[in-house]
Amino acid sequence: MNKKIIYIILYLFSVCGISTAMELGNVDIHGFLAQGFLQSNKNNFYAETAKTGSLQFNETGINFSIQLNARLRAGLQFFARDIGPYGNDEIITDWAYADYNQSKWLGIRGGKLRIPLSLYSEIRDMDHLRTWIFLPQGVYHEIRRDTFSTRKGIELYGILPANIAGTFSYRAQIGVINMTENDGNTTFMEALSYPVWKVNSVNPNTSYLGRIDWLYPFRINGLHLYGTYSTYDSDTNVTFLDYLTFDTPFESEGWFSGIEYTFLDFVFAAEYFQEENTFTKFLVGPSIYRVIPFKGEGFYFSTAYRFLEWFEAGIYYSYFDGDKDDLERTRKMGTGEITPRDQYTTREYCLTTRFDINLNWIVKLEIHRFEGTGVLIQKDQVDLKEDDKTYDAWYLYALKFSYSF
Amino acid sequence: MLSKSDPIKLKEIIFIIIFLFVSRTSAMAANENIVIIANTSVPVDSMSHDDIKNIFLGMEKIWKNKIAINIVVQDNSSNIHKAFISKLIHKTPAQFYRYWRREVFLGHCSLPASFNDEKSLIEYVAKTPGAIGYVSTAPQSSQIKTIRIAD
Repeated sequence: MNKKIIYIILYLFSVCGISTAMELGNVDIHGFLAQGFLQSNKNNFYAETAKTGSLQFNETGINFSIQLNARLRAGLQFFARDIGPYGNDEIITDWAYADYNQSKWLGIRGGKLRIPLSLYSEIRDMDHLRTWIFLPQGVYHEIRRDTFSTRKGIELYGILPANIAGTFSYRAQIGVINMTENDGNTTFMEALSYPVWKVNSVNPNTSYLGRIDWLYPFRINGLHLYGTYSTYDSDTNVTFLDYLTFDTPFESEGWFSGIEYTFLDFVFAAEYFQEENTFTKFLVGPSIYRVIPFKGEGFYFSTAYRFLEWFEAGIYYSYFDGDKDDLERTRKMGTGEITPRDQYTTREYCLTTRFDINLNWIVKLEIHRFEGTGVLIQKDQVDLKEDDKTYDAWYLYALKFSYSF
Repeated sequence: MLSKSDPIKLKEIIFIIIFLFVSRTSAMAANENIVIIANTSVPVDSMSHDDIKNIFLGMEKIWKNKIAINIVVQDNSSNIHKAFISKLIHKTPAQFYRYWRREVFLGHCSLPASFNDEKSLIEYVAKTPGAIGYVSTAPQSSQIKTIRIAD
């Protein structure tokens, strides 16, 4: 589908004063359009943001859904985004599934599903649904967003009221994640150990996810806890040190947990994740070696407050470590290369403001201070300097307009 | 930048912040009478706080007699709406609105029907099987019943 068709539809909705959801017969139609500007004082935050900044930062989406009967619902969302070299406004099917709700304890969805890894992972493509322009990079690593957005498969879900203990909600997914040798996750994994190995092809296998949410435990209203376990694996073909090419399975496990507490106009949130990634074996000469798994982790603390009906502000601190056990750093140091810890880690401080012009239009202004470049692709985005100031603190400024209906 | 030698400016800023906080919270603490009403097809006569929360957050979609739950809300500007959302759902109107927008944009459900006057809301509940909403005064209608809020 030509992306211009989506833009034309959204433009007509906005100028014709269509501020609420459309209906076409019994079909609900909603959409959103966001355009932003990014600028950093050094390093490129995915787009070419250093110095003069970049307008290569936008998201567009439109969805259609219908309640077919009391239990059955179906819908799909088309989506396009662009941030620097990622997305490039290519229109994709963001989600598309049928949802059968047998009872409050059991429902089943099938199709292309959003992956509920964490508190805000399912809505990270929709700017109008959150306070921040960029979610904390410690848990919501931007470059890996596309890889872990959706899964083709089946989901079971339901709620289990537990009287005074609150309400439990569960979700279990099985399916296949769309992974390629050029996606963000693969690019980031390669960059961690650049230039040791390069991924030539990725063939994803079945992946799994299980999540439990605990809502208002022991009548603490506004409190929400959750935990997620996710695993995926793929068959990859890699080139090692530019001369040895072979097939090797790749496995990954991830754990996410978090808490969100809402009190009046305050929202407090904190999340933690850890992952373990392993190339299970590779062939070197006549021997087979098991590669030690390398681990990443991250966390953040945030608070947001709605001061007025049209004004909300928030702050967060986030930490990301792409190489928790220092394996790659140790390996590179063995070659004599100086590899500061800041190359694999990032501490992030963010202040954001959100202005709701009306129910449809939103403007956000945000500033980030980063220490370290662990969330970036070192060889492509980091402003390397010879005066040892590469890893000094750097800033990202973001401005974003969004329209939704 | 403020310094310790600017205590007056600092106090003014703190006062403004407290004023904004109190004015927002006092708006939420309005002492409104809330009556839960439902179409007579709804197979319950009382609901717990958690049941009300789960239903008005779309986590339950079907009544036990297999009729779809049809949630009806009032406009954001309504004091009854603010009181209901605050006391029974434990969210602010903005948080409630954003919650439902999230569910809609994930394809989980449609937005609840919304009315800016109680007369229209009552008429909708009366004619819609499975409908449940809230008003300030129990209406006199053979097609509507009042749902008791159980402790």
